[in-house]
Amino acid sequence: MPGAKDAEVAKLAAALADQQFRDAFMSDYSKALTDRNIDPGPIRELIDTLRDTSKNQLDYLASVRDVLTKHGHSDRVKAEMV
Amino acid sequence: MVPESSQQIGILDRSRPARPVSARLRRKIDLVTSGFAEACARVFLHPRIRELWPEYLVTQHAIIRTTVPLMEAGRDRARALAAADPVAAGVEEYLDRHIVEETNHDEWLLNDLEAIGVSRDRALARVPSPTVAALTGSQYYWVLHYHPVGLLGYFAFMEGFPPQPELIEGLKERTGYPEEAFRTFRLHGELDPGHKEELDRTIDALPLTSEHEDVLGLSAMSTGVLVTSSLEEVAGAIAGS
Repeated sequence: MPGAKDAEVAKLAAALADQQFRDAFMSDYSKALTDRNIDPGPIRELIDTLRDTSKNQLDYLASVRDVLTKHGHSDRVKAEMV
Repeated sequence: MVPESSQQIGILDRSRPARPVSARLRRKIDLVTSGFAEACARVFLHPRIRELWPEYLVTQHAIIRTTVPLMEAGRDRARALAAADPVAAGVEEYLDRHIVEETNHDEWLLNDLEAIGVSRDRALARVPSPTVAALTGSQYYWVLHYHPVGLLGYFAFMEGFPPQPELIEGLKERTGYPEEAFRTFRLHGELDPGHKEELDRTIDALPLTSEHEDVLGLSAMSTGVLVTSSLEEVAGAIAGS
């Protein structure tokens, strides 16, 4: 369900703006998600990728406006360049 | 002491680990791909694409002309570290080989620009945006002041989205420009998939620490974000987007 996925991505993106959440996610991602009422079910792949990121990488992603809220919005086939 | 047979094995001859670093890196790149794809669409589907296409090529030239100098800087730094650093030794081997493959691509782009009436002098005189300077300049920082492995993150993004023939045909039709205006675009569509595979195998063969993987991911993701910004600048250069 795209709607459910978008809603959870939006909640996760908002939570990641908070340093405390990022620290909590790094130490116990499942508890951090539960505490923010984020359902990992529809966004399992995104969660798994974020679990592979380092603290520096997670901080960087959180610093870039809209980068996570746009996640999954576009088809990869459109991303092409010289 | 390392057995002689091991010493003779090149970086690409080593077996790949079960859960490759390259797969994790590609998934991190995916995190910044949606915004990049939207920016691509803003440029390639622009209602005034004929006017915008020279802007796009000039910006791409400003980026691509740094490819070989960046690789040379990365190779030289890696070479200086290689005796005591097996990751640097692998980076040097990769860059040394890849420099040859990337040589003169900036010249191809200048030829493409001439095919649509933009002289070399005009293209070279254009002042690049701070975004382009940040995109390529940050790589010099990783190379010179941290570790040259960061440069592999840059190329993981830059060669990860080769243009498909359908896109090129569509652009030819909508711009009305001749085939000669798309030679670099078409050649990268043919070459980049092979380069991507070779780069992934190189990354997976390197004995990376968590710090190396950290900088690799930061370099790749920030490249994606800055390339996206440069495309948004191109799309915004002409009203109608």
